[in-house]
Amino acid sequence: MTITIEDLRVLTLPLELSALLFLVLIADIATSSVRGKTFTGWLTFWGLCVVFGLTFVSPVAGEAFGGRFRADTWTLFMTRWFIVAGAVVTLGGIDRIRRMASRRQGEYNLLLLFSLLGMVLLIGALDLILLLLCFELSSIPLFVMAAIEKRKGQEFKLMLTAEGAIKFFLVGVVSTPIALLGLALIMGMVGDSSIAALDGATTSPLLKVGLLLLLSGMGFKLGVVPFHMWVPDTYQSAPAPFVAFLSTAPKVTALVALARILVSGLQNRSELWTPAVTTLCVGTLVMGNFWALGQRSTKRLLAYSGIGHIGYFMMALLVGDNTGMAMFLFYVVAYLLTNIGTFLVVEAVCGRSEDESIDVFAGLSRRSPWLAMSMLLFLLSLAGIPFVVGFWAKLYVFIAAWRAGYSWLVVTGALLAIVALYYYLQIARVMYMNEPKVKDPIAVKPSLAAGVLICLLGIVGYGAYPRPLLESARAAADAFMQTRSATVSVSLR
Amino acid sequence: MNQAWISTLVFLVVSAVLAASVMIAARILGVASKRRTKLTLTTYECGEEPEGPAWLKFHPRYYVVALVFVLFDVEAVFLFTWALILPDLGMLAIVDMFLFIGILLLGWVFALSKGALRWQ
Amino acid sequence: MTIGSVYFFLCAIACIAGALVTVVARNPIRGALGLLLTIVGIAGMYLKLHAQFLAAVQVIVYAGAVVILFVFVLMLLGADAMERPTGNRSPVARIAGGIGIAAIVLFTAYRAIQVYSRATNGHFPSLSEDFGSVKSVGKQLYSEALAPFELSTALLIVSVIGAIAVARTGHKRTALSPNNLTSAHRFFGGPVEPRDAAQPITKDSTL
Repeated sequence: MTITIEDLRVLTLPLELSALLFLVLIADIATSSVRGKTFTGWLTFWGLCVVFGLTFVSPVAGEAFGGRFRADTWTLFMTRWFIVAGAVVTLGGIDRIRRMASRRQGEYNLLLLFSLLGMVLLIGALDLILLLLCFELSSIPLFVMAAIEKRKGQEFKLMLTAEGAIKFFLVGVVSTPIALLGLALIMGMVGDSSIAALDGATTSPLLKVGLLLLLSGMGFKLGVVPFHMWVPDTYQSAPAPFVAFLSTAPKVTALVALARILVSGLQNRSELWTPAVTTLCVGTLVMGNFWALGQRSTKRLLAYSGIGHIGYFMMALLVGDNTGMAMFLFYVVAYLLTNIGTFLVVEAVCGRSEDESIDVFAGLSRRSPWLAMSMLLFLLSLAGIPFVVGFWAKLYVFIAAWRAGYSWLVVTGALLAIVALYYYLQIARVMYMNEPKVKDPIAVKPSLAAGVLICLLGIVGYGAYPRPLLESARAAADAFMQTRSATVSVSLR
Repeated sequence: MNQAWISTLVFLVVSAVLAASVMIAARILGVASKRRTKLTLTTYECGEEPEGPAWLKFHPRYYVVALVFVLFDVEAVFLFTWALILPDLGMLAIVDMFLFIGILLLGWVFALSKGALRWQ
Repeated sequence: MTIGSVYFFLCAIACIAGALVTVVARNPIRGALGLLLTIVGIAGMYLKLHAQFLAAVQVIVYAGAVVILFVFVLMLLGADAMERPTGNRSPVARIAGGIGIAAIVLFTAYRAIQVYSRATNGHFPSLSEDFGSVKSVGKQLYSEALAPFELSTALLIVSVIGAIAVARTGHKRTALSPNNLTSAHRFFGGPVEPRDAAQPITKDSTL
């Protein structure tokens, strides 16, 4: 096998991203003597905007590396949303990173881009080895990004940061070999590393052990319930703009990796994995939402709420057909926009004071009405209230799961959505009912405000008119479910 | 069949026998002082008297150097395989390896420009 | 007992002894060296499995680099940090936990062997002549697995950037009080660094 021009053409998007990476690396080296510059951050943001624009110019479809990588409607859809997530997070984090890690801004942006590159490659990977490498590339930079802030003179905060980062790192590096061992067992039972060959696996206990190990390894990365311990600590101690990224794109990446192996690879053998995934799904839904109830820290509350959301994602995966995947993708977009927006608002409100308890939000409606209103809309979207995008996302997942015969799971999910509503509205109540401690409005940097605004427009716009998103999600899901297709097509939606 | 482990086993046995025979020979032929004093047990029987623990704290700066070393260690591993199949694959392998080394060199340049390898 | 099984048992004993030393040793450096023994033992087993390339990588990368990194980290902490914290868990709980995990692993292994030997009827497909040799691995690596190979460079670069971002010291040098000096300060005026031979060693107490 040789690399042909055709291969490189299929890899256009990852190559564009690599070019941007190279540019930022050079820029960082060239300006390494200047202190406190935000140059690399802006370069990353505008570069991602350009790459996003280029996805509309000439989308390519086809296979590269002898069928190990495929570009089609699915990769185009996911790439766009990952790039949007990366760009918004960069934009929202520019000020925070300049303030708190002024000497490491270049590294921070480079690592973010490396992580994005891994994600963009992973969504097209049709080979277990490539899948695992891409997944590692997308997750290893995050360990460093969680520890990017070094506070001088604040020993306690420093220790908190170190604790969250170390927990995240240890869980991450321990779960990788577990998932790797699982993949090795699966590969051994299948005799091939391609996704398309998974269907022909002989049913043996070893295959089941492999799947179980894979699920637990990925479960650590996802933070589903028996493996969730690191999530609240890491979210609490890491900078909020980074958490906006950590809580969305890497989770989606891990879910996509799981979906690639389970939903698309083993689509005719779903009896092998549905029991385990159902257990994880129910446990995550119940425990995530109930643990969130007692939280007094906004970031911890949102961490547990994020754990609960993984349960809804898994519900969509359990459906296991084209419709389920389409609803999964709709939920992905809704979750990306809403969660990034929420954490950016948290950064705007709590970023300066470093105090992220719910009480900081007291009387926000009187201090900064716009910030309070956007937070309210994000919370409603997370809770799934009409008519923001989160409502449609939950509704579509429930409909798909109901049709697939998971009616009891839908009832559980709906009941827990009510529980979730309680703790989301708790923040809203504090914002609108309580008296503010300080009266003066919160100064929000334009870059951060722009990030919040993008997410806000997204959730309101798609909430009012979800059809275009739904249709492109359907097209992407159809492309995703084809494992051994000869005709790879791409639609420009 | 390629039996690399047999040569390893032979190597292990020979080295074990060699080491043991030297020690036994020293025990038999050597002139050991029968009197064991505190002085005979010290590391250096003459010269400066050692003081304090031998374990020193290394500076964290060494760590980055060690990590860059690991980077090029891995590169060396790939170079072995590359050198062996170079005649078979020809131009393609050359392009591959230079791309690989080029990207790694970028990492090295990055480390250099950030002053990670500089001693203050 | 064939000579092959003698070799296997030697490697197995090295692995288990090394693992035991790693867990039991009070001194972390000794633990790291126990890990080294385990790694070398595993490399020996790879040889027996006709995976010469893996064995070489195991020795070069793991024994040569990773254990060195371990020892480095321990030396960064210095001898002061080497006191092993005493756990407050009772030995009964520890032993029971160990036996439990060992039982699970052994049972899984037993079932796996049982199922696998039934499926293959005790016969394994024969391997090609040069399976696992450096050359055949290289052939795979530079043709079939080119994409993962080039991608691994990105992972390596990430590790360098990450190490620089985390470990780069940008702090001011803080003075140590005279009674808080380590032996390195007392004798060499600071942690041992490569220094100019012409530069005299002074006993200043700053780091």
